[in-house]
Amino acid sequence: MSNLVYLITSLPSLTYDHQPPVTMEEFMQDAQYQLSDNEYNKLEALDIKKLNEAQDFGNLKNAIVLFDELETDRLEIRSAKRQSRTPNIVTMPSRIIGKNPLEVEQYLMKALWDELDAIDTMEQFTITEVFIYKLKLQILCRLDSFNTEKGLEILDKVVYPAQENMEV
Amino acid sequence: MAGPKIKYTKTERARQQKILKVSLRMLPLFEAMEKSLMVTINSINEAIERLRYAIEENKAQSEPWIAVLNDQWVEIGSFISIKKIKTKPVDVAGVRVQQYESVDFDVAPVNDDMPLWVDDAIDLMQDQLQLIAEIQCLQKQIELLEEELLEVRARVKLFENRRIPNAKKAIRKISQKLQDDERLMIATSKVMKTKKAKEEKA
Repeated sequence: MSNLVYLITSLPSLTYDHQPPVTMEEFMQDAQYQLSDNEYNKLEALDIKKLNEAQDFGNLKNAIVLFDELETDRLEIRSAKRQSRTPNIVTMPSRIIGKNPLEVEQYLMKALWDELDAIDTMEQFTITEVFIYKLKLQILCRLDSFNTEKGLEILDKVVYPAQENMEV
Repeated sequence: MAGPKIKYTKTERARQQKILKVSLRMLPLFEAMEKSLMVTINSINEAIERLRYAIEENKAQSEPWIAVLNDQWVEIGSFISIKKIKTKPVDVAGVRVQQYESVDFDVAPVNDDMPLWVDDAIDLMQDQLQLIAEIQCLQKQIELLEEELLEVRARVKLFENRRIPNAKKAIRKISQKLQDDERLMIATSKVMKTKKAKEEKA
């Protein structure tokens, strides 16, 4: 327990829309020192990309449900786009349909963040707080990776080197 | 450098006149071909500019969200590649070139767990790759047309600077020489006639 308290108090606080104050590797390294093997293995298995697959995370239930609902809407948007029809979404607000791809991802991340925040306020020095910290850190790391300059570089890398392979 | 030795005969003059006639008839044809090639090359260059503009336009339109391509969750670079550029042969200004038709892509299946932006990014990349492929086809056309233009220009120069002036010069020289010969012949025969008449008188 004291290890858990030490870990939680030693972690820098996370703020939405701010750069992650710690890397995932640093966080996981700290967690490995302070948590039991069982707790650490659970933490390692937890991934925001596959939150719907998370088992034995009872306290994260609300976030998992939200993730599932957003996932359903996401699939509906994708399917509607392929069928050229208006998507019938339930959880996401309808205004999201007109948003650009970056805004959609930012919305999804914010929605999850808020849900995690709501759970977080009810936790006091529990392992759930550490789980939430990891998920929030994943969100911040992802948001931090959205970079216009690098995005353009990636586009050019995909589009222009291909010219050399083009046989006209 | 001395030019080829001219034969001062009526046959040679007739030959040179034929060369001149053919050259004068061919020159406007080559000049028209040169003009047509230049116009075609210019219009292809304009088409390339339009396509480049479309590429920039696509880029500008996607700029507000392009940051998402660097998403650490997805390696977008591995999703799309060109399988084949389809073209068809056509004659442009008398030159056989390949005209762009379409691009066959190798697109990796987008799984349901992929973020939504992946679809948009693939659409954008397909658009850009198609435009670039079209530009490449047009650039290749320009290369071929410019090669032809060089040949046509060389022919125009050949006719303008060598064949026509040379034939004209040869005709003039031969005519001059034949005229001189004729005058000389008349003069000689007159002298001979006068001499003969004097001899008969005496």
